[in-house]
Amino acid sequence: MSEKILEVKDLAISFKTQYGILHAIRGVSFDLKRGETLAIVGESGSGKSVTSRAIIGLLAGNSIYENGEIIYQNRDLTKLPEELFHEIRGSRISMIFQDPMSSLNPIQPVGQQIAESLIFKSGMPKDLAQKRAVELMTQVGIANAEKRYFQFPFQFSGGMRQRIVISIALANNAEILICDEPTTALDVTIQGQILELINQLKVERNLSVIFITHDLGVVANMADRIAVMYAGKIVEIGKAEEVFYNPKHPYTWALLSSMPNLATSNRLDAIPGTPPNMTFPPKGDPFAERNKFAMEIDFEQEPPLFKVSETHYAATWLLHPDAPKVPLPEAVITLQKNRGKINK
Amino acid sequence: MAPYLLKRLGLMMITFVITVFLFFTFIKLMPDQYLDPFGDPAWYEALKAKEGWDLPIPVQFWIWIRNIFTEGSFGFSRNKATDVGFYYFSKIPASIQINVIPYFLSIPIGIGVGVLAALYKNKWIDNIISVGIMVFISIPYFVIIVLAQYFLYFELNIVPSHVVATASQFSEDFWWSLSTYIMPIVLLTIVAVPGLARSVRAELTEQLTQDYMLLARSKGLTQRQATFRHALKNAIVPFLPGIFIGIIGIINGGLITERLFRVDGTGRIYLDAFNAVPPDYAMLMLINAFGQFVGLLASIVGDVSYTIFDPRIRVGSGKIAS
Amino acid sequence: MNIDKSKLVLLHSKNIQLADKPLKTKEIGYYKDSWNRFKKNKGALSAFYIILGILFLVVVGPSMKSYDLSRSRPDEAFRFGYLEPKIPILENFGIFDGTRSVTAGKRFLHAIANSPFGEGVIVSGFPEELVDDINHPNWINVSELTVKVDSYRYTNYIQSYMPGTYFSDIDQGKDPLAAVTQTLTRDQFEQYLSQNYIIDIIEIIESNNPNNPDEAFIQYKVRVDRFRMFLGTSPDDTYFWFGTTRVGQDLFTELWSGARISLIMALLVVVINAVIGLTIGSIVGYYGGILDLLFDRFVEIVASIPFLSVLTLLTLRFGNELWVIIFAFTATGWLGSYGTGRLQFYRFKNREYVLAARTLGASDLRIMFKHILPNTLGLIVTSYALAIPAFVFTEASFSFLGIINYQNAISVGLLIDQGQQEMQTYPYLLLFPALYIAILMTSFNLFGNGLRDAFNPSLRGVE
Repeated sequence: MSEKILEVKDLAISFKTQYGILHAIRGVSFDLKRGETLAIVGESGSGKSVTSRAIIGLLAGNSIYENGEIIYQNRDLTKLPEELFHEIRGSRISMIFQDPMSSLNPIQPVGQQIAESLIFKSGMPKDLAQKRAVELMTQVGIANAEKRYFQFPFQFSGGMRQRIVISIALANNAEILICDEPTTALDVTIQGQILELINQLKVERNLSVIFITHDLGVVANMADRIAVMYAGKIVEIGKAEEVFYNPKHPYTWALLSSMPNLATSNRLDAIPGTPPNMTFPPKGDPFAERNKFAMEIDFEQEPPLFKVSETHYAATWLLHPDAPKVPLPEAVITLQKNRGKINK
Repeated sequence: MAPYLLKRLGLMMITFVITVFLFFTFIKLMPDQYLDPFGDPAWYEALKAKEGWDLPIPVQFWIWIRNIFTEGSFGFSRNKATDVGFYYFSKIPASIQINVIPYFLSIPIGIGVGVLAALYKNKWIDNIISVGIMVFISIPYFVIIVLAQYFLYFELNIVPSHVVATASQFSEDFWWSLSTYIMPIVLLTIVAVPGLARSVRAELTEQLTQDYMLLARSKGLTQRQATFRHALKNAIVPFLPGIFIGIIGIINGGLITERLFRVDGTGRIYLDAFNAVPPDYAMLMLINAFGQFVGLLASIVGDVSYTIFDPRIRVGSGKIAS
Repeated sequence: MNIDKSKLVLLHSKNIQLADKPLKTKEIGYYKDSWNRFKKNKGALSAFYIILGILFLVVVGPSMKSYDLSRSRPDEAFRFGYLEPKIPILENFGIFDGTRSVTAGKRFLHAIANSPFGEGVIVSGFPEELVDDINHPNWINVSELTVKVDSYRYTNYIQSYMPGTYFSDIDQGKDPLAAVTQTLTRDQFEQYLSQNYIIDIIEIIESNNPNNPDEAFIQYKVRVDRFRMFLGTSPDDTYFWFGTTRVGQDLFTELWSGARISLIMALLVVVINAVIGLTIGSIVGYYGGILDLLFDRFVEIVASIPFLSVLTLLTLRFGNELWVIIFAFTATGWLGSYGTGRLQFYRFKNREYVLAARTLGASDLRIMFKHILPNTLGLIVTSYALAIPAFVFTEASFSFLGIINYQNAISVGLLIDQGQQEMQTYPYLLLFPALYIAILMTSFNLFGNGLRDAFNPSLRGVE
């Protein structure tokens, strides 16, 4: 159950823009193990979406593969030509997106959109595909699936649409599901339902899930492991408990501190400043200028990943044996204190 | 859907009647509207009575309508010495003849060209097509035709004639007469293509960037499959009502076309009526009203086809969901 | 790993105010940004320059040639009709060199070839043998020949020296030189002589002078050099860049006059449409409610009236004055701006910043003009850039058909119409106006499209 299903090694991707070359990802490495949920967390512009698009091979036309590999089933996906890639999508690796309204074809009945996957990827005959599509719809929780097969996207609520998108993604029994901020566009109450659904499907089908989000709260219920990205690199990666209760990177601290928490009356600690412009990557640690705990060396050299445990790494000079000790932020301490109470 | 359509229909009819009445009034207010006595006096008096020239305008309007429905008479044309309706409607087939093939040819060609341009956007195919579209759309239609006539017929002499054959020429030499239709048809098709091609190209380009295309590809469809099964349909649907409306429009003879190719159709009649001294008001009235009527039909067809093609309207409350 | 351990020191104290770093990329305003985008579009940029060129010619062109004959003395101007285009430098390359093919009688051509005044008239095509011997055996059965002539010299020849009907007049016993001779009094003669108008004297007529019996009344029957007399130059030095029309008007001047009128009218129409449409549209869009419902019906009626009908009815009733035409175009033309204005106001009416302004107490007018309207600027500019060629297109089409027919002004459509009728024999009459329209329209459309893309940043990055 803990074999590696996907390996990303030192991936670096840039984009050609009219202002120059945008270095979106600058050396990202992680593994995905079978049956686990890996959450990738970060602000807009951190490179998390680009990473996921790279895995499924749907980057924009002006993208450049600078370096790195993505190993899946003994093949390097970065070198895979499009003619072979489309065979992997849908049947092995699937993706769901942020806005379910625009993800679905507005003038085609939803059932057909599910059936299309089956017909084209599995070669199912039409009537069989229709039946199976109805089954799938029921599985994801859509009542009256037989009738609703013929309805159009606008006749469904946001949550329902996202369920349909999920059923499309899993129609052909993919083994990796990438979720790119699937709940950002939904109401909070619906969010929970969708997350529940994904968890349930993951167990039923032994899925490996990459879950991309900027919301740490969402991550808490879903992730087995968490990778925190900033300015195109992973700054901390580890098991969920490790990252939540023993975070080591100042950025992770800042993220945890800026989450509104009903349980405490601590002051919200917003992170000042804005992420750097990746057309001109800064020298040294990109987080340095917003970092309360920055050191002189942070402005000169980018820190490597320091090992905290077998499964936990963080890229900060604070982990250097000779670095000064800094106090943990209040929010993190509160989390640790409430540890027993939060666990589900 | 039905109540929505009926409401629209009602409104359109009201607009139609109002506009026709406005025309009628305006024409009747023209200084030289009433024909001076001519021909047989008794017959002249009868005409005067029948059309009600001494009566107030709204009454005349009513009489005009009544004449249409009771006798099928639309008014008398001095120039053509016959009932305007009779004359006009007899010329419609000629107009349709020259319009129909170019219209139906230009639709698949126009869509095809637009799709090609969108698929190969910014490559050389697209650049050629875009330039061609730009040129043909900009240059006025009659300039293109006239230049083509000059070069193809007068300079290079590769077409049999620069105008179409008359009815009598048809009875003399059928095949030659038929061949005179080739150049006009080809030209008319060519000028009709760029408009549709440009719209299709723009729409398809837009659709190709939509999120559902991304989903389609992540499902594992190839770019080609995703384009033809999803983007294309979405791109063409907005134009289908227009195409249906255009079918109705075939009836109207293009003034320029008919003048340049000497087609004996309805467009020509318009110019004759306009240039006559005094202007042939009865004919103008008919042409305007008939044109309005055709427009009305076209709108109805357009509305109906919208509901057929866009499911959002069909099933929804009558408003297009954003 | 080798690092300078001394650098492992915290820099910041507890309370830190981090200011936003200045942006590394230069900031540019909306208009400069749009202009940059526009410049990148090579097609649109060149179109822009072409339009500037056309505008220049429109302003300057009609006055470039001080040839007024068609207006001051139209009957004399007739003589100079159908001159082929002749353009200075290009004539040396054989294009626009003022030459034309002409078919004429053998005798006539022979006369030209052998007369001093006819020197250089025939450029090519007249066989050498016939120059010397008109009865050369090879050409016994031929009565007419087609040759290439310099149309300017040719015209001067037949207008001043020997009309084309010379030999057939002789055959019929009429005075062959009647068309070209003038009878002058002595004073006139002296005057013409001093100005070098006289070619030669055909006859001196003496008759009795009733006023003064001793002195005879002398009249001179002469041939005058019409080019010199009316144009002030010899045929070789006369250049009509676009040639002349049937009635002797300079096509270059006519074309740019027509262009000028149509562009001025276009501007007027567009501006009027904009003012009316935007004003009404803004008011209706902003206040909405009953006003909107009423206008909806009204607009629908107006919109269903075809432009052709409006145009014909108005011209039939009120004639062909310029203002009638302008009125016809604006009567239904304002609808476009109305739609835009109304739409924009609807869109922005409920935006937060408008509500904020309202809470601060801004008056309705202020909100409309200071807050909402500037947002529409991009949209407005583009649609008007495209409205001008639309007008030119329509106006040219209708004047071609003859539905629009100015009394005193010239229209390019009319020129094309005239040209079309003569395209077999005088193609240049068609080609120049047609080319003008083609280039003008294409440039305007390219320019308008370029503007639209430039003002619309959402198109950026769409690959």
